[in-house]
Amino acid sequence: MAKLVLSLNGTVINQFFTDKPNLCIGQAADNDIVINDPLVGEHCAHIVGIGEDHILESLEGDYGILVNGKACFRQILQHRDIIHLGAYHLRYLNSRVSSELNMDRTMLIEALPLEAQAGKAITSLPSARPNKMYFPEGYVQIQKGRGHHLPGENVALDRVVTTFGTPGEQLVVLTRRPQKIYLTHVEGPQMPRVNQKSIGREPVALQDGDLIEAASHRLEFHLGRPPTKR
Amino acid sequence: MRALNEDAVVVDVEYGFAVVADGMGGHNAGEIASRIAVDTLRERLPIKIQQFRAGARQPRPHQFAEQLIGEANRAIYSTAAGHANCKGMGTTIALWLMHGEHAALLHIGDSRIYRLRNGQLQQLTRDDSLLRDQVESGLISANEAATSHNRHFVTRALGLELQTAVHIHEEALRAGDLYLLCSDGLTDMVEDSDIELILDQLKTNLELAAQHLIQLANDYGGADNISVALVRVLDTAQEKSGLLGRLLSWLKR
Repeated sequence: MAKLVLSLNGTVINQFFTDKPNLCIGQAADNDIVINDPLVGEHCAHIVGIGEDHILESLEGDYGILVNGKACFRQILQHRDIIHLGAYHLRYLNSRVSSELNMDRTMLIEALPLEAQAGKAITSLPSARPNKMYFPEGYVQIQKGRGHHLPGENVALDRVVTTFGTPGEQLVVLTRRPQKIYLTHVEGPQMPRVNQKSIGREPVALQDGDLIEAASHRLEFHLGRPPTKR
Repeated sequence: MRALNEDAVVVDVEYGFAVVADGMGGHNAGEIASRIAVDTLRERLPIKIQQFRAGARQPRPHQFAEQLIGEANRAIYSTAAGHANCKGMGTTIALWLMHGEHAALLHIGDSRIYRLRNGQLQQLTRDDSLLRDQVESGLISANEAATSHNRHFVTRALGLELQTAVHIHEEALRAGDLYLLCSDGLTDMVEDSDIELILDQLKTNLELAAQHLIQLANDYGGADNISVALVRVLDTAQEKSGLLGRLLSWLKR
């Protein structure tokens, strides 16, 4: 893993990580590293990763690209090499070579306009959570209960948490986690029972077929998707 | 597996404030920075709040809170200047401070404050983040932002310069409001819709709600420190007893 730190007149502007096999550099907006400088070509160069090493290749022009002040067309990048791109510098740092290299991704960018834009709606950045995480599927069959579920109904546990009971009185929660689905007491004087045994305050992993008695409900827990209604 | 990380979180029920800080800088310097920020507020805020409650009209809560954040900033800055290992350390901070029927919200960096009201989660703070700037200016789409490597570039933090500007916001409180203060370790991994669901479903047991948030971030592969503070407004008329705070923080390193 290596990173490339883009700076202008000694001020860090951005950094990029080489976790793609091919990083494109240039003035055009579709590059991975966009350099906003009229002296830089539209797609002037790319960096190709081979094993732990990275090769810089010039793609435009007859004079190549400047690395550490010397023109080249194709070069294996060395730790701390500087690629000159118009007024910008792109510094190559390889984590394998340099153990002190900070791969901490929370870091400060300085020298940017910091004015608060009052009155504008707040943009919420989406989370980076991976989609491939496997959470088991499960459902409960209501055998007895009150509220908006009818006896005999199957309730799919398709959200990260599903509660049964009345908030402020008696409540339990079923939580989906990577391996299993857990039952936890939320509040109320009565502790929930699983297969006629009272559980404590700690979450209990549910098995297929478990009978849950909690918050005036009797629920039969099953793994998998609920059977489709006829 | 779980540890209470009081370096990064404070909830003071008696004086009605909550703080989350998320330090940055190698060699544990980030933890030093966040601890200085949190300790400064934990020790100094109660004195100022006492004076205010005793009838002092000036300074107003958001003013003395801003002033104390400025003091924390200088303390981190001078510590960093005096120790080579601490060079360049800094911290984000989010502070929620109740006064009467209002709360002052102050923040720097990308630690956030959310409010759950009538089942709706709303982000109240604007991140000082390069990525947020880029999404807002249309440079990249919100979907691209989810996979961006640059999601952790903050444009402002405590302790990097002698002067710092704090975002300040005043909120009128309503009974039943639930406030969440959190570091980016939570919001990076858990989508707002899941945070909303967990807070709304488990709001009567804040400790369990906080555990669920941290656990879910962990289950999704959270790699950063995750700090969470939850405050529920019970009744704004009774300032002293009208606040329930629980804190839980999870440290992975």
